[in-house]
Amino acid sequence: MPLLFFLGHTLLCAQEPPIEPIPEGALAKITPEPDVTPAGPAEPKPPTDVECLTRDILCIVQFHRLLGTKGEIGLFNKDGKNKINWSPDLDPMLPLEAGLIDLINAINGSKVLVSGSVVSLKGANNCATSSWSVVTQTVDLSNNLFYAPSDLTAFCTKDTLLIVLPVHAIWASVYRTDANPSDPTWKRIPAPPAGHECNSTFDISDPKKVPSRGISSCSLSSNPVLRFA
Amino acid sequence: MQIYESTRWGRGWVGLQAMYEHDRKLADDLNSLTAGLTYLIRVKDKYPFWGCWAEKDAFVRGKNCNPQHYVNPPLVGIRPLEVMVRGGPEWSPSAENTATGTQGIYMPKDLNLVMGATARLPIIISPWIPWHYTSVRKDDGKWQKTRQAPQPSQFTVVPVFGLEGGLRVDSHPIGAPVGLVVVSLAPECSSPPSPPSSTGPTGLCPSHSQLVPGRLYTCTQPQEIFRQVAGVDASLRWPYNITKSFLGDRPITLDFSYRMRWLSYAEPFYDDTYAATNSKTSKTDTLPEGQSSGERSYARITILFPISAYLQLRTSWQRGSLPPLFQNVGNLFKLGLAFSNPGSSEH
Repeated sequence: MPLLFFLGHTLLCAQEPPIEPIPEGALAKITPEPDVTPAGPAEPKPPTDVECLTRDILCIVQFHRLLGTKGEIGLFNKDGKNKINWSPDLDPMLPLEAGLIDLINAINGSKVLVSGSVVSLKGANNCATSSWSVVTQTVDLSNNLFYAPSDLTAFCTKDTLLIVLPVHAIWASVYRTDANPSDPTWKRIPAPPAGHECNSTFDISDPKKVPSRGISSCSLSSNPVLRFA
Repeated sequence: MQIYESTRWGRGWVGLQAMYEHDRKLADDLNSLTAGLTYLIRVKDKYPFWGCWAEKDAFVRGKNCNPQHYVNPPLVGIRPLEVMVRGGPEWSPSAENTATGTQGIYMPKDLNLVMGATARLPIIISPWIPWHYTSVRKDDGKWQKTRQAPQPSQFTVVPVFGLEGGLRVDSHPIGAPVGLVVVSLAPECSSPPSPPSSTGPTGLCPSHSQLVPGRLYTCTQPQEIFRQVAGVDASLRWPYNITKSFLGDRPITLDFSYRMRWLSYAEPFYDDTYAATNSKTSKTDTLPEGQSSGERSYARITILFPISAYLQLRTSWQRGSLPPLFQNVGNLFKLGLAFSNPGSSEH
């Protein structure tokens, strides 16, 4: 575990490629998720490939909290047939993908009970002090869905906006407007919460230990509804 | 009760639409059920827009509407063409026959099987609003006024074209039980009126020029159904500007729908304002039901005021008629509350 922590920390602190910031005052129009492009026969891909988190400005990652022992994440296959390549296990890929830990913490901090997707948007300038809305096309409904800022569960890291949607998004357009700080109910968009550990015997006083990084619900084993969902 | 469920299947979305109305009162028996299995496919849905006109650019296609870097939303964006195929039963409502002596008698219900195909082309318009200025904070800490579209898609126009066809599984005779009475003819028909008949011919109604004044008709409905449909949907969204703190950031939505149907075969219509003379009583009476081919239109305007993420105030105005009964609703105004989801539907 210390080795994992070291690798994860090293990669998180590694120099990331420069990203052009969002022009101020402009609404954000985002490239659709390229992985849904119907580009002929499916190419064999590692199921844990979420390189788009660091490679692309916009990356849409699917997740399911009830699959596997700790939940699974994945991407739509390129064949355009709605198949999601799920990761077999979350833990082994953690050191490989910078930004993945924030993504996992964002999923755990959301209200999504079973499955959905995370829209990761890099270069989100003034992330915490903006209002974000999303227009998306999902596999769950034929209509395009519009999520207003109050409908969204959003988190901001240093330069990345993470929006957790309760639907499996095929493409998404993210729009930014200025927040209204004079609104007494307005709050800054928070950072993702810290990682959680379902095991109550986890020693939080040991700084060398990190939570298990799963996205499974801690009440899964005791909740019969979730167990059969 | 209205249900619409859909999920991705293959290249499109398979769905189930169903609407049931239960409202039996003195004038109308609105118990009706329409249901349909749908399949919707978007042609070239690789990108959010099939093409667009950006603020300063000429028309560009798909990928160029969504470059890697942030841009303003296109002034005009055309979403992928939507084609929906639908099939299912229509169990029509019926109305009370209000002719003299027949009050309280409801006309029988019909059962149709109808299939249809509809094409829609959503056009999304996000204009800059000159008076909608907002301030943004630059990196140097200074505030600068900019113009922003207050809503991602403020105005949407969706032309609609389609065909509907089917057959009648069970249909009632038009005019039953009192018969359809012809009281006036086209000017070219000058033959003297024949004595009123209490039985009259049955079968398909003759053409208008062949109708005989004063004769009682009870007409069966054609088995075939075929309609050409054209229309437009439009939608305008505007966020709460002043009361945003109380009512949230979901926009007020003004929806408009218009449909024109051209009927290739005669279909029933029902209109409370239609007056005819009852041959039995020789009195002018309301005999609201008839059948004809031709054009039938329908228009609806709906305003949605979101109160919260789960509740909205809905007001609507309707005019015209819709299949299967084509009952003229006159000018119908409705006010009500509706439950909604956090993710509202966008055209």
